[in-house]
Parts: sequence; structure tokens; C-alpha cells
Amino acid sequence: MPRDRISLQILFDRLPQFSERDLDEAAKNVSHNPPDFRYQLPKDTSVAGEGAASSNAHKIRITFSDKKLEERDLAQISAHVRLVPDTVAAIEKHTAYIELSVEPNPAKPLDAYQELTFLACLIALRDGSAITNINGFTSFSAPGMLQLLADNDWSDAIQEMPPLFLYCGPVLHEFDNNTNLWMRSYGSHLLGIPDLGTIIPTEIIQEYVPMTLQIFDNMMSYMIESGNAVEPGHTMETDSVTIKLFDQQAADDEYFYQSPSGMLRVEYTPKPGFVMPRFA
Amino acid sequence: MSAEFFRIKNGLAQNLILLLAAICIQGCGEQKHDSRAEDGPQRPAPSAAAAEDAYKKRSLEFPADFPLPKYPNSELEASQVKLSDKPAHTVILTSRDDVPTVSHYYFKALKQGGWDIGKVINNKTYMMLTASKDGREANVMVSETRTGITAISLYSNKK
Repeated sequence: MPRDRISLQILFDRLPQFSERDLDEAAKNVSHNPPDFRYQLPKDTSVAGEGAASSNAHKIRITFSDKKLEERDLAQISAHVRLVPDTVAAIEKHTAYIELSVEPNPAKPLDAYQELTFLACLIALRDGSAITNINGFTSFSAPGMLQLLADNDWSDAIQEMPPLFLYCGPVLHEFDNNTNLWMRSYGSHLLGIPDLGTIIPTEIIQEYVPMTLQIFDNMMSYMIESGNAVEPGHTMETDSVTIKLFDQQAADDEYFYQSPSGMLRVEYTPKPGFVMPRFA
Repeated sequence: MSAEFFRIKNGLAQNLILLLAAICIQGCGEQKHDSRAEDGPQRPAPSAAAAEDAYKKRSLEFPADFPLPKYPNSELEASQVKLSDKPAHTVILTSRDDVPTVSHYYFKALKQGGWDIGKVINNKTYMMLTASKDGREANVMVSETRTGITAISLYSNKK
């Protein structure tokens, strides 16, 4: 299974049967401006096989598998949902999946991800149990994801989705004999940007995590939208915090510091009088 | 980098960030590594010291002008926050009641208080809802923690 390209997986208890027409009708029901997909689906989608969906910008490969994901993939998609019951149950129980992927290095990777997300959610309407991103170390229960989109125009909602949400983690790593946590993104190289990480003091995790997610999301969006790189040594002042960036080196056995596009460690200092938001 | 890029997103994007935060905090502690643990991430002293200072400055009184009610069977761990030029408050409570009980209270209290309930994400171990009233927006997050305590996060700002 190629891991050098943008991809998403939809998990099922068994592969569903659906047609091009089913997907077209579903798309019209959820968006006024859905991607204009042209499908080439196998006649029987309830067995292993291959298909495709082409938009004006991308050709999406659709792989139907009647097996569980491999163990390593399962570990990756479970990395940030370890205690979310419905997602954990969906991952444990699935017996089949459909993978959507595009060719490596698309000109606009975020657009490619958004098209994949739209199609993944359409397919998940056919009793999908989870939507996962192996490269992004991420998974969500499919009903939960569809609930998030409900009442919205799906195209608009998916465009609003922060890159950090489905495409790039985040994952919190905990170490024996160390009270601090390491929170980082995964899979940012597929968006053409470095991964971001930061140290989270355990005792104030509820303050640091929401703040860090805001900062990561802003930095990622900035890099993707502007095409500008942020580099070690850069600093930034906001009303609330001072942000500094450092190169995070990694040894061979420190996979949690490794990234194909490099890892930037983000450190920030709250300004006097500022109290970090705290969410449970 | 320019500070201009830093912004607090609103609407769905903000909700998704909050949901991620809840998932991360809930899942914390389940992914341990012993590899090079002694040399693992070290806390940068200046940042941590400043953060701890900030932590100590948390308000310990339920703000009188806060528009959402305090859950009756709860203890206050209040934070009052101002982000950029928009007034915004976050209040944290903890309770020994379970997530469904606390969630039910806030559904009922907000409806009775004239709030329009927006997006709701509901599960056995966490609940998040958005609401609006008279130009104000609010979020309520209720989640089970590893210690069995239910954490309640109340957030409100002005449009």
C-alpha cells in the first residue's frame, strides 16, 4: 500500500454495494457545489477490486479490500483516538475497507485532500464505521464525522476543516521516566510543509493542548496558503504569546522526532497577564 | 513570520480544534515509549516557568458576568481569558457526576435560558455543544478524565 501519497480509508464491517448513480445523488443532497466526479466503479463493489473517480483536478484511485488494515496501519490510525470508544470499536470490528488515493505530489495537495474527504464521506454514508488517515495517524468514527458535517454544505464545511483535523495528527506521546509529553503532527510532508511538535508539561496539559492546537493550525494554514516556509530561528509575537521555532533533530530510534519533511519544535512563552485557555 | 497570520478561527473550524483538544487530552497517557526515555523531551525552562506563572494567575472566582450557569454539583477551577481584541471567557469546573448527567443539565439550562443550540457532538465520555444568544457565542465541553472526574469547560465570547 503506497504511503508516499495523499490517501484516506473508510472502514466497514463489510464492503457496501453502491453505484456511480448512488454517489452522484448523495453528492447533490449534501452540497450545492460538489466536486464533479466521473466514476469508474466495478459492477460489484462488495468484493475486492479497483475503481477510480476523476475530477477536473485529480484522479482518485479507489481500492476495495475485503481484509482488515495491516497491524502497523492499525497502530498508526489508533494513535490519537485511544480512548474514544466509538472509533476504537469501529477500528477493532472492521473487516474491510476502501482506500482513496491520488498520485504523488499533486500541485495543490490541500485541494486533493479536500476532494478525498468529500468522496470518503459520501462513501461512508453506506454504513462506513470509521474514516481514517494512515499517513496522518488519524481516525474518526464515520457517524461522528458525518454528524459534524450535518446541516452544513459539505463542500464548504470541508474547506473550513483545519489541516490539522483529518490530515496531520496530532498525537501526544508520553515517555517513561519523563513527566513531559511530546505533541506533534504526522504526515505534513504530504502537504509540502514540515511537521510541528512541542513539549507539553503534564501538569498543565489542559491549558497547553488547546493553545498548541491553535498555534499549529495557524502555522500550517499560513504555510499552505502563502507558500512561505517557516524555519528554525524564526520568532513571532502575538498579543498573547511569543513563539520561537527550533530544528528538532532525531536519532534513528526516535521515530517520534522524525518526519520526511523535517520537524520543527515550537516553543512559546505566554506574555505577562495572559492565562492560557483551558479546555477539558 | 508575521503576527498577522495568527488568528483564532470561528465556527466549525474552532469546534473541530476543540474536539481535537478533547480527544488529545482524553487519550493522554496511553501511548508510552521507553526508547531513550532518559533523553526524551526536556522542558524548556523559560517557557515552562512563564506558563506556570500564568497558571497560578487563574481567577478562582466564577465570573459574575459569565452568561452560562455553574453546574450545581461542581467545583470551580476558573480561568478567565482575553484573546486578541475580542472579550472571551473560559471557565473550568470539575464534578463527580458523570458526563451524561452534566450534559443533560447544560442542554436543559441553555434551552431554558433562551440559547439557540447549534452543533452538538455527544458521546458517552464527552459532549460538546455550541450555542448563541443575543450576539454571544458559547461552547460547552464536558468530558470524562482518566481520574474519573468529569471536566466541564464553558466558553463564551461576543461576536
